[in-house]
Amino acid sequence: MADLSALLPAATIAIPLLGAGLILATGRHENIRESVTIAAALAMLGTVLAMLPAILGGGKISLTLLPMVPGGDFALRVDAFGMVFALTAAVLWLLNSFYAIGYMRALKEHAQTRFFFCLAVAIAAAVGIAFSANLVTLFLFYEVLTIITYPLVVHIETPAAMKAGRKYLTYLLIGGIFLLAATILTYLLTGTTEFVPGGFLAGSGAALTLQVLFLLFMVGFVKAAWMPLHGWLPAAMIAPTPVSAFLHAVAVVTAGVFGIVRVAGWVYGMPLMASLGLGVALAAIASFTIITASLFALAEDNLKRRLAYSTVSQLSYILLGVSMLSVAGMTGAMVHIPFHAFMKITLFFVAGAVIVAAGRERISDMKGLGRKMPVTALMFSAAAIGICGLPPLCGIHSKIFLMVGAVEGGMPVLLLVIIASAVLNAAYFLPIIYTMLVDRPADPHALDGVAEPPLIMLVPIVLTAALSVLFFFNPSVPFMDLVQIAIGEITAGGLP
Amino acid sequence: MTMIALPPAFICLAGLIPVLVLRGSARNAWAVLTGAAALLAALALAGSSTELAVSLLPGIETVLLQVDPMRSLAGAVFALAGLLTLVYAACRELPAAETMGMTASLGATLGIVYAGDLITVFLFWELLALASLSIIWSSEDPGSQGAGYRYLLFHIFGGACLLGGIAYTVVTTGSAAIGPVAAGPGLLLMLTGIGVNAAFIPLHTWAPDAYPRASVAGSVALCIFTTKAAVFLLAAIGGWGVAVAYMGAAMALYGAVFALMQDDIRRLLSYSIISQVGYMVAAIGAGTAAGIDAGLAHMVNDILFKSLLFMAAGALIYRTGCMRLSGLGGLARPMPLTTACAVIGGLALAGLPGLNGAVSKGMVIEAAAGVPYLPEMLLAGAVVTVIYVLRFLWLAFFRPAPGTGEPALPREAPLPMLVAMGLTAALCLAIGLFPDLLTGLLPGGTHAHPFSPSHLIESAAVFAAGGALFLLLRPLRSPGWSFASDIDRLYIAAGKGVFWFSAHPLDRMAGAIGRITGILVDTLKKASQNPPVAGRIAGRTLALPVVRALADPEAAGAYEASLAEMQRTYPDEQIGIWGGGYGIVFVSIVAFLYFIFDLLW
Amino acid sequence: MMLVHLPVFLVTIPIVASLLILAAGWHDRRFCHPIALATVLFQFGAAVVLLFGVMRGGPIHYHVGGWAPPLGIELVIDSFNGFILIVILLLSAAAVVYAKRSVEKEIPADKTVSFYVLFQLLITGLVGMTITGDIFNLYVFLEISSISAYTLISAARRPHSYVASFNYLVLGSIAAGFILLGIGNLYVATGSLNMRELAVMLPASYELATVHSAFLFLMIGFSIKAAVFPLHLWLPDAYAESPSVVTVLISTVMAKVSVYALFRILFTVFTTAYILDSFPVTGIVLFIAAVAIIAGAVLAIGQDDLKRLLAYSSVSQIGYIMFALGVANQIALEGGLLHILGHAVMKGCLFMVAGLIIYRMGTSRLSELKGVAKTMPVSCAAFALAGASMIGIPPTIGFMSKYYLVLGAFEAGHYLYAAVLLVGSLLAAVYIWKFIEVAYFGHPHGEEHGHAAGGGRNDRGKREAPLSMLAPVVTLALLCLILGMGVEVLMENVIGPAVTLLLGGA
Repeated sequence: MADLSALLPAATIAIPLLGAGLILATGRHENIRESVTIAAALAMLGTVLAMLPAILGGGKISLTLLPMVPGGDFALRVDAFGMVFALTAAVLWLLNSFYAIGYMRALKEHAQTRFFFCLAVAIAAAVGIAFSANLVTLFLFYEVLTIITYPLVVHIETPAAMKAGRKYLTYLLIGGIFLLAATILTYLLTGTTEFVPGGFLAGSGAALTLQVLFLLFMVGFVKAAWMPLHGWLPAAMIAPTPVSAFLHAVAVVTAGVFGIVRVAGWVYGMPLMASLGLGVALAAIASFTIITASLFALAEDNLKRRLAYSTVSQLSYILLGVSMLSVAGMTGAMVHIPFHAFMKITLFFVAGAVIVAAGRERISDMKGLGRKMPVTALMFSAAAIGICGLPPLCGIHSKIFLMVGAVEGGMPVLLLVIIASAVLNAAYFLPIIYTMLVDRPADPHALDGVAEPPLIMLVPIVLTAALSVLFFFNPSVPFMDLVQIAIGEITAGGLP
Repeated sequence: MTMIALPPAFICLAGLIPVLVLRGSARNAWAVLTGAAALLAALALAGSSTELAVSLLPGIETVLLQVDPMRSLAGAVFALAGLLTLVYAACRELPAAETMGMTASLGATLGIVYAGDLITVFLFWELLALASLSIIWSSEDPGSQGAGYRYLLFHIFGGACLLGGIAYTVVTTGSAAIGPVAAGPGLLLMLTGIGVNAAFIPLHTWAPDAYPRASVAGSVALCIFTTKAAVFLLAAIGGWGVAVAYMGAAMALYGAVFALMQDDIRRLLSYSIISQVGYMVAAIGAGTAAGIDAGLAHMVNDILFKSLLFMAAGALIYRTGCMRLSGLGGLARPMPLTTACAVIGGLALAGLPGLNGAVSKGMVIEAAAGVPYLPEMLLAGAVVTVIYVLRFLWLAFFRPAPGTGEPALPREAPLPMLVAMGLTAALCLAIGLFPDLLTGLLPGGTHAHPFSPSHLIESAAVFAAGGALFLLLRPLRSPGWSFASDIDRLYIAAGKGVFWFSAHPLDRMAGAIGRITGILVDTLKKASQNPPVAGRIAGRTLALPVVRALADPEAAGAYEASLAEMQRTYPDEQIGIWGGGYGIVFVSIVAFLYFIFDLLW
Repeated sequence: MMLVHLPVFLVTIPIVASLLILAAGWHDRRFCHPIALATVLFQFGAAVVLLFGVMRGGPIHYHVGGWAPPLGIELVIDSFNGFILIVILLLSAAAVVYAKRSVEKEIPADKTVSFYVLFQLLITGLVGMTITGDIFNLYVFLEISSISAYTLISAARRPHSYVASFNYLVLGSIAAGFILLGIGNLYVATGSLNMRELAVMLPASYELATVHSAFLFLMIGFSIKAAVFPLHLWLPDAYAESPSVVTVLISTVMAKVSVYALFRILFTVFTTAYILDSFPVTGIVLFIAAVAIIAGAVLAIGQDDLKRLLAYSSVSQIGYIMFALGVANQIALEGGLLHILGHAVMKGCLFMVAGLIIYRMGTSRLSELKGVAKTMPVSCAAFALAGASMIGIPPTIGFMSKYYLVLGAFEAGHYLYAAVLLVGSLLAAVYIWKFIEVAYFGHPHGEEHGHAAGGGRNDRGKREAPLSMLAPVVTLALLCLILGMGVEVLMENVIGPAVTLLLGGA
């Protein structure tokens, strides 16, 4: 029994891979293929939930699969923080699978087998990143994620899509190279790349070396889309909406910020970060990104691209929380990962639903859409309000913790950043809400024949929104509790 | 008594769901029921000392319900006013969003009032902003979109500032309990946050911007909750400096003067709100227990007479469809009851002894006595108040109707409106005649003596001055002043600037960077197809001008031709018999280099 | 007993076999392929046996005809060339399996026999180069392999292939000349041709100009054979214009053996003591390698012909191996040797796929291969896998060798060169992706893209290449992955010892 539970992490990664294989095999028969996807998603959620109690009990599950290279075996370790990411991904993959099936069938998309295959491999890679026990394993999954998401980005195969795909790949592969360099350098400095709560780099090299190393890591985690290295994310919006929703609001970008938090808490450790002045540097990057990205979002009329810019700015909230190097800040950062994921995926779902039901991508074309698709529009408004950090959605909790963290970490200036960004968020989300819910189309018949999307799409939308509300009323279970455990681990060695 | 412990706020919020499904009068009835239930709950709580705490976030205990005299008083009054508003609104079917907005803002305000800690306050604070937004956006007024947009931006800003202040308190004191804030950035942030809702100058522009654009019933709801909730929070926290008191005085004057210059009725009343809130802020800023009492008392009274005035104004607009004083007149005859209510409300606002305004205004000025020049400023404000009240009543009701010919006389306001107005007016009278009804409930136990000689003289002087000016200065009696501009013009310009910036320079910059990188990449790709030839082409192209300048025409022509040919055939065939050529040359060069290296070594 | 004589059988039996092919082929050319296959399989088996022998009992020395050196020729098999032997014979075996159908398609029927004969000789020569312990004997085998290579390249009988073959002939002869000069100088300096003895005797005369020039001659000669930038000029045409199977063989086996010879000369004949201290050449090598990595990749990006693209990529990849030589520390050399294996496997696979595509599509121009993945899914999948390995995506073998190389470079403090290496892998991504894009996301003319394609999957029926050609491709592709996973085992048992041996330890 014990050894069985020890194998769960490997199973969690193996299941989607297996599913991917079956998807390829059963590609000809759509219904079988789809049911494989769903079954795999359910199974994976099951294994993750099976591990949850142990993790909530403060335990860890470690598993070394096979020796690889000096500096890192191919090893997995499930801890509280990894669980946060894995659980988010598992839940959202299930919902996204239903949504994607509805979406792809409604639009009669081509190459659906390839689509679902890549999606399954991508989720395996994402969970792999969450469960990586050391930098090498993390890098392995990170690269796999990069490659396997490319076919999803260029799915429609138009010249524009190919161009965007090249941009996507260029950014992410360059990032991968930097990450590899950083990993190897870490190994040379310390002789290990195994994540240790509270970090293991302290005293292993000159201050300058460690600062440069951190820069390497930052560029390596370009998936976090911090400015000015964010260009790939809006470009990737050319992908089908389920991809944008799941990968570019959840898996890929989260992999980036997850990596940065990992490095900050498990490689450097907060005291070292503070003594190297990395907190300030990170804060500068994050603040710049938050504000600039919001400004970009203001001017963008394409809904998905505006959401992309909003993602860019929201991700930097997480970096901002890390940069504060305080318990509350870290809490805000970690808990914002799942919370933002749930709210943002709702928004993307709605964007896709609008494309399916009304074939519209530009916000200015969505006047009065709420009269024809009330549920969808309401869910959008709710999630948007949540991103702005208003009740009753979970976004407000991360905002509270970030604010407290800013004061706690002795960086009150960051309060102004958060305040400004709160205003900007509202500034670019409110017009959409008005356009959808209140406004009326110039031509009263413009929206004839538009109706709610099929249930298989509508239900996931409602569920993600409902979960976002649920996490407002009860943030602790499970995410806040997990984060508490993780924070406890990395602060055991003391605070800056 | 667990049933009692049910926070009134949650009754309202729970009441929201049926609103979505109900229709027509059923919806209105349900809303009124909800309001009544909330009022009952509030009354039931009074006197008890129940507390309901949940731990929502780790490290911070959130107290959803805490009862003390101050909270009981404010809660009851807000619930009462909310109920009356809902009754008033029942005159016709409102959009679901608007009814929900009203109920929700009542709930949010009650939440703020009964909140036992700042985090809870913050949560309901933001909820209140959202509720108000849905009220504003439910209006048919074309201006409501922009107004609502600006309204929420303001309050998001305020809420964020408030949260910043709260963060300071949490970090410094280790708890989020409501209480005086240590001086410093924290204080400043919190004051800004509350100041936005309390319409501090210059953060006040959202009020005259949004209130006139809401629907008739909506504006009543708006005028009650947002500003007064902020005042209550100021009073609950307490311990502000004198600066706040002077801010109050500034608001009192600023608001009154602007109210004097308005043509739109509800815009006039909005400025009047700012001015009256100024009195409360001044009293609270004075800092004494009496000051707090005075502030609270005036808050209660203002809630009553200001909502009464808004109701009356609403009734006018509802019946006449005209919102401008310049278009109204002579309504005393067709709408006597409305007129009566408006007169009561107006005179209460002006501070006529015997009406509730006088009670608390006297207390405020007494409390302000401790602060130099404060009473004088407040009295000056009072005088202006008298003037604009008289002007409003005169122009709207008593002067002969404008325009030639006999306009179709409007009918008296509908029953629900009359009921609501009547009850409110009755309350104004009651408190005015028996001040202890109110003062008895005040936490500080301060008592008011509106009929004491000094006060009577004071009010007499104020009325005399105001009345005299109104009679003497003809322009004051003439309609059609509309001084619509305020500093919000600045804010709007700034906002437009931001939009322009992100739409043009920022966008263009990003685009340019993308293009440049694209060009670079393409050039490299082309060059890599056949580097030697590419290099030769580049060299010749650079040399072209020189050749043109020096060589004779046909030679230059030949040169250009060959260059063009080279570019046409690029990248040309890459294989040829150079085995004896390039190869040997290369090898010998490399060999030579090796040997050079050897010799050097 | 037999096992003792296994080393010499490794060379003699194939020579006999080639004559057999000739004889049998005259009778019926259908005999050629089975014989060749049997021979190469025997060689592979023998190589495996020998490697295990070495791993158990240390280096094997075999004196041909019982004549001890310096008079006689000695065959030496140690962990280093044992490993190389496995690599080249593995690839040769794959190539021979692959050859059957491809030869039927590309080689005129009446030339089949001679083709197989030369093919056999080429392999034999390379094996000989690998196992010989005698430096002049090395030259002899080199010539055997070279001459058969020149002929095989021209076997495609396209005008270009003649030119390519001629170019290679010229440069190859120059190289051979240089090598012969070098050997001569060494003989003058020491009076011996046996590698071990040379290693013993040379230190005495390290400072002699003769030895220096010998060293340089050999360096240049083998650099040309190994197509080290900028002496690669013969390579692109030779690779691109020769028959598919020949391309496979020379791009993997032949290139690797030349590199092996270079390593052998540098580390065994001139020991590390010489190349590091007495005549520090590693600096230049490292620089040249860096240039090669970038230049090769950039040139590859420019190509439109798939085989030519892969050829230039070989230039870049050989740079990786030279890079290891330049860094010359344990980890880097481990990476280098691993890359010899890795590159052989993946480049073999890639060229085979190119061959398959030519076999089916009749062209290897990218511009004419739009959407080929729909027609040949398996082949393209193999290409994608090997390509990923070429880019260095974990957990493929390509990533592992890259990892070791960068690690070694970092350890030696060559941060800049390490950066070059990483950039190189990025450029590799670019040229690999040129094909991936075309094959998977390109749309053949007349078929508009996206939603209109409807169900999308294989709307034009699959037309995969014959199994006998597909099998080796898939095997190699999977090897990229399996070897990557099992890299630790290789390192422990084979490569690690080999490198210690090279560096003069053990």
